[in-house]
Amino acid sequence: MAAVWRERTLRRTYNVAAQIVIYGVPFLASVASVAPFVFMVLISFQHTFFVSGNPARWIPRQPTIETYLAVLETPNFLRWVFNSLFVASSVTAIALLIQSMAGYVFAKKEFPGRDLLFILILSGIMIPRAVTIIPTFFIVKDFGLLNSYPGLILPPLAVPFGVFLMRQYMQTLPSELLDASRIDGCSEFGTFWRIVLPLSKPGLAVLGIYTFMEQWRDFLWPLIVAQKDALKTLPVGLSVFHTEFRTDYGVQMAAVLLSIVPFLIVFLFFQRYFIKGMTVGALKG
Amino acid sequence: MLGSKWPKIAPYVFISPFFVIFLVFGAFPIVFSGVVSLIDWKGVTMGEFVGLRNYLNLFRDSDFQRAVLNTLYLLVLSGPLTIGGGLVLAVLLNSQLLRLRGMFRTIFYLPMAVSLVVAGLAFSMLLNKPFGFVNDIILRQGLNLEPIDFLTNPLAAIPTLTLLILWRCIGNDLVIMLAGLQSISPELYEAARIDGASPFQTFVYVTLPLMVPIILFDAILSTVNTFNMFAEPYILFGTEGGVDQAGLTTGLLVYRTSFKYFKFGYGAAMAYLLGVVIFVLSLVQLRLGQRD
Repeated sequence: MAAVWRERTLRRTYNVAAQIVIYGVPFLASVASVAPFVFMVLISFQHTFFVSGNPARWIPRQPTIETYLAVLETPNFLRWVFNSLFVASSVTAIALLIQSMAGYVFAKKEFPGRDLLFILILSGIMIPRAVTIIPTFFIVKDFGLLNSYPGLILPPLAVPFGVFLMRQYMQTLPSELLDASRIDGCSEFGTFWRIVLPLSKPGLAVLGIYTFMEQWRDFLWPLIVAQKDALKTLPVGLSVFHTEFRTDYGVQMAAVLLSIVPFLIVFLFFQRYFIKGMTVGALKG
Repeated sequence: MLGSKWPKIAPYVFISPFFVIFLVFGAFPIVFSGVVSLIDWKGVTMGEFVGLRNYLNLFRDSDFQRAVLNTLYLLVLSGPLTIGGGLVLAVLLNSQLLRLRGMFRTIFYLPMAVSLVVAGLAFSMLLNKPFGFVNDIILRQGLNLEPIDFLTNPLAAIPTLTLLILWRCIGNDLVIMLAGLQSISPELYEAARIDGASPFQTFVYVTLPLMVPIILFDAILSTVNTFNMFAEPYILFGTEGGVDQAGLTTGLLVYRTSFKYFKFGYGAAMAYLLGVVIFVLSLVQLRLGQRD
């Protein structure tokens, strides 16, 4: 009896400890994640931010929404939002298709030149953008794509990050399943479209989120390639606040917080694909 | 339709949409900058061909050595924290025992969406001495604690940078790991449970081996990003890399050389040499991960 009782107590203690770890670690980490945002929100509701003075004023004395209005009333604001959405969605949609196609072949096919081509692709990740951005600009200019949507969309698609990512995920898929589908009479593209892609949903979600996020917040390339005001993306358009309102941190913070909202929606859309059980086992059953 | 040749050419057809775009907008600029690295190009006019002299000069450049050492230090400090932290959080967020998983994922990923300029601004305000938020709290404790000099003390430069990277990037490591965990078949966990494996044993003998390709990917990505990182050290320490160049990383130095001093040839040589180093590091990591 005593042994059973002791074991039950032990198990209960173990469960409590497990609960503390399972909730405690993510909770503490999310407090650290959120803290700078709280700070940014506090600043965004005041025009001038007093750091000096004892005690420093963290809570705004006279909160105002003028900072947010200043951002929303910027001429062309909606146009920039549209441009950012259009460019980021286009890059994401095209990248998901062509980079997962390439990643699949590198993960699951044997063909002459595969390793060489893969090394070439890897080299595209290694060289920093600081040295390739000028030649890229000249190519886009020679194609007459300055101040155009293709000029904004095409160069980011050449970043081989997604090919490498999809290759690594697709390596974890069992090859027998792909062979089976081929024996069942599925075409090469059919196998890819109906078997490989559905099984790769979590990987595709990572690629989708990452690509959209990179495009949504990118500053350097849109700044160089789109000089016309009507073609600017949101980060470039809003960068006027860094100069015009240089000391008005409130407006800068408001601009950033507003620009996060569309990204948040996209993230929530993609993260539906992080569902436990989205696996080979689930498919078989 | 294409008969017996189709299986042979199918792989090339699959990669061609990406490859055409890559050759024009990816490979060409890389080759072009390789050519530039052999030229003594300063300012607006094209310079003369100098062969490997730019590369040889790098070995005598004390700024370059400083930047490489700083970056290696940063890599050793931030790499395990982001990769290991991402993996631990992913395992917890993959657990059925935890509720509100979607909320946690969103919270951890949100910092990625903030523009770096503003993130840097917020961080400098938070960590400022002596009026930053963190030091404000330290001073108000009434325990006679000294304010921490996050931004101008040379010893604190790389740890402060690590803090910013950890805050900003852990969400990305987390979702990469999470997607990997989700492609592991539940049947394997079921089998491990029936065999009486403890959660820790399951993690070590089932999860980790299957996660190797994903962990490798994340490790290589972290290595590349750390060497090429420009904006993070720039907003915290400026183009000079702060007091005593303690925050000078290789990405920042490449940027400074090319766009502040307009030494395009020298900057390109730097990027190429670093590219080779990263490349070798990545191949070693890939080999180590795929020896089985």
